[in-house]
Amino acid sequence: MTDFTIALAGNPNAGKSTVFNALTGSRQYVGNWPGKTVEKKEGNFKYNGFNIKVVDLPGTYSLSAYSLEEQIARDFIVKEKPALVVNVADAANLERNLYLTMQILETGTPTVVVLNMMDMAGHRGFQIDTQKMSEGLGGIPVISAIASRNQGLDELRQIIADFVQAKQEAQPAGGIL
Amino acid sequence: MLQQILLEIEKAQGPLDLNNLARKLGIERSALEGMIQFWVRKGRLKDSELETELNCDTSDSTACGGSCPGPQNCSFVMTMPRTYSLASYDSE
Amino acid sequence: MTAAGIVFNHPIYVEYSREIETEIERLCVAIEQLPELIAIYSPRWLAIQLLEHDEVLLAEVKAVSGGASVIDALEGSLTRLEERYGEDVDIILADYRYSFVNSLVRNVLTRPAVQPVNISDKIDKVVTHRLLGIPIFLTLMWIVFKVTTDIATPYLDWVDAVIGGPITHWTVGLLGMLSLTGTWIESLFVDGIIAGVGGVMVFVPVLMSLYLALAVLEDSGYMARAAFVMDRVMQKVGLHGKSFLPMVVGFGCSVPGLYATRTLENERDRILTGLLVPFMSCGARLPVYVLFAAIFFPQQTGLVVFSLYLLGIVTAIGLGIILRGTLFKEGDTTPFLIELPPYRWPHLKTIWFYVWERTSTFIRNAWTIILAASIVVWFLMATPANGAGAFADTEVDDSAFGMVSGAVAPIFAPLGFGNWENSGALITGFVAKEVVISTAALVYNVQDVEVETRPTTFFEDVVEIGVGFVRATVDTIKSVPLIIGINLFEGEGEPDPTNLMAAIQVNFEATSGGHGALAALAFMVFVLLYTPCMVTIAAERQELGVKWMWFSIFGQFAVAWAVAFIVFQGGLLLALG
Repeated sequence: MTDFTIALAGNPNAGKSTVFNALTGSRQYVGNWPGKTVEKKEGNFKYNGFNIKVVDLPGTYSLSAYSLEEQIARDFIVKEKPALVVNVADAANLERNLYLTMQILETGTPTVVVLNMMDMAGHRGFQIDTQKMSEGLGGIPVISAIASRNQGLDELRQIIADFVQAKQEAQPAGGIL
Repeated sequence: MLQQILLEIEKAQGPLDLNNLARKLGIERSALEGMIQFWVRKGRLKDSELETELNCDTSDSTACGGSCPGPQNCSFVMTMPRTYSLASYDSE
Repeated sequence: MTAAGIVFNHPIYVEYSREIETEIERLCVAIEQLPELIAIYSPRWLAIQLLEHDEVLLAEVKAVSGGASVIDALEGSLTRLEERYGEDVDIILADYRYSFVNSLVRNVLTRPAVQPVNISDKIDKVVTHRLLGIPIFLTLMWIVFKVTTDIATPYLDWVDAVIGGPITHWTVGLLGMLSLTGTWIESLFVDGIIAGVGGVMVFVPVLMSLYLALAVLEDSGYMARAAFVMDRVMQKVGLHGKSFLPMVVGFGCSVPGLYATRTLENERDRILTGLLVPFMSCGARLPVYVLFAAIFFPQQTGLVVFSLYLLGIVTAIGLGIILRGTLFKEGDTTPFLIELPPYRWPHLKTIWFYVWERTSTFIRNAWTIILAASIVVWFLMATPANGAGAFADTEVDDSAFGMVSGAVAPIFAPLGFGNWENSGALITGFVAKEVVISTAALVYNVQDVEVETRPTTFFEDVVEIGVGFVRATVDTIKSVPLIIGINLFEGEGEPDPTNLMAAIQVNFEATSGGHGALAALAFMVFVLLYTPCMVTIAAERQELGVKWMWFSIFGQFAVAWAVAFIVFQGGLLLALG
């Protein structure tokens, strides 16, 4: 049984798949988006007694529906209304990736930003102040991560669990989304 | 921000390199590419890669030693850098 | 909605200008009237998408009952905003988002005080430098031709020996077994096909090394910089800034160079550049230079070849300036953005692919166009035109080929090479530049002494081929230090001139009144500048139209003649040669 659905969104090559695999392990299934030839990956994981379904959205640079992938990602966020969007962003190309983040935030969906590939950003000598960034984005959680080395993912799991917990408490009657 | 890209290209005396433009405007190179794609979609910049592909004529097979005369398939064609030019200069 | 003090969806939005926010609010009011819409969409989000002219959502809103009221409101908003900004609203909205992100990044991301300059940037600083860029380009070109000629020359002799030796022996032997010795068929094979096609095949090693050098420059990312540097020059002199891109392609072959002019937006610019591309020296012209330079300038082959390539560029730019001032006055210099790929070590596989593809295309041409041209030329040479002699047994002067070429020859007299052999080679050269070689091989072969038929066995021949190849490789390796090293202009001893080379030398000395080297230079210049090949003409017709195709054919001929005239007569005046 699925208690909550969360969506993974991000630019192509931002490391979304790595995060997806790390979260769901072997519990994933691959299909197609209804009526589309684009691959749809879903998976599950349990945390603190919650069953959480993860949907991996196609990698896109924007949500402006210029392409099939963008259309799919946008429709899912706006119409299927996942409880939470996990926005995986490439820290080494922050400016390009944050454009999508702004569009996701504009939909009004609760969002967590995972700043992935912090090692690459470090190699370029970039220092990113995640605290400041969180403030700049209105206080949403910003996690720094190196998904390929499994860094920052525990923090992500914890934040998802906290969120789900809070959501459960806010809506004691229901809980299924 | 977006407008500045077009202005800088217009101002440039000669070809302008993408890296230089990114540095000049203080925009990350990959973000600049995204903005350029925005203008390409709006039809204000012309992307050389899209242009030549559209024009490749595969009907004539005599040219260039029997392979497609189009710029993509002739074995003598070189991989040329991608260019973007202002669409407003497209007269005639 | 907080957990452990974390906010998840604080309504942080990009804040647009007051005018836009007013219109968003206005649209929100209209959207909130329609329960069907607010069941799915957040009004603010939908309002923004509609302002951005999102086709999908527009259609959805129109389909909803009462949607017309939203569309009405939207049209009002769009009109007001477009009036205010004089720009499409989606541009304004995207711009706000980009600016928001840009300032956010400036706030949270600290770049190192000293930007770590990567190697690519460092190289570019020098290579695309305003002043140094051009000398570097020229130096690299010079190295390319030096390497090309030095590496390839030993193999050239080897291939020549193989074709002139074993292959000829075997063919003669085979025809002998079929008891065709002494017939016109033997003459067709030996004097026509082997001499013609073989004469061109000899240059396969040269072309392979040219393609190799170009592929290295191309795959490493340098060629893009060369185009960038030269395009700056083009723009300075009033030509289109993208003209040099197709010209660089023209170094490989004029035909794709012509097609590459399609990246120019303006038709006038396209035609002007299309007229200039054929002046870029393509690969097929290289064998002519190599052959003639080896005869007349054996010590400076690389330098001669480089100068010809340079002359092609200079002529193209000079003519471009003249045409821009006369026939092509209108037209702006279009500014553009160029994406220079990062430098990289050339991939062996890619290089091999380029070299193989291009060389095999050249060989395929040799077996089709050149074979056909050789047979036609042999046939015309074997056909008596004025009643003297019989088929395949006639003096060349009396043959159809000799008559026609001889009639044209006076045109070339002021250039120092006005005899029927050379004019015949140049006429057939309209088909392709390799044909200049095959025809020359044919016409000069006629005067050759009988091929000495030293009896050899098949085994001896095979050993000879193998030994020759090893010797050529050793010679090439020996030539490497010469390329990078000290005596760049001095080859180590001249290779034995072949019969063909000797015949050409004698001939040019005769037509030029003892100034063979000057005449040969004029000949190479002529070959560089006149129409490259039939396929180029076809491409010109397709890309430029019939009118400009003829303009190009006659124009190139006139330019070739004039420049060759200047070279020969000017050289005489200055008492060079």
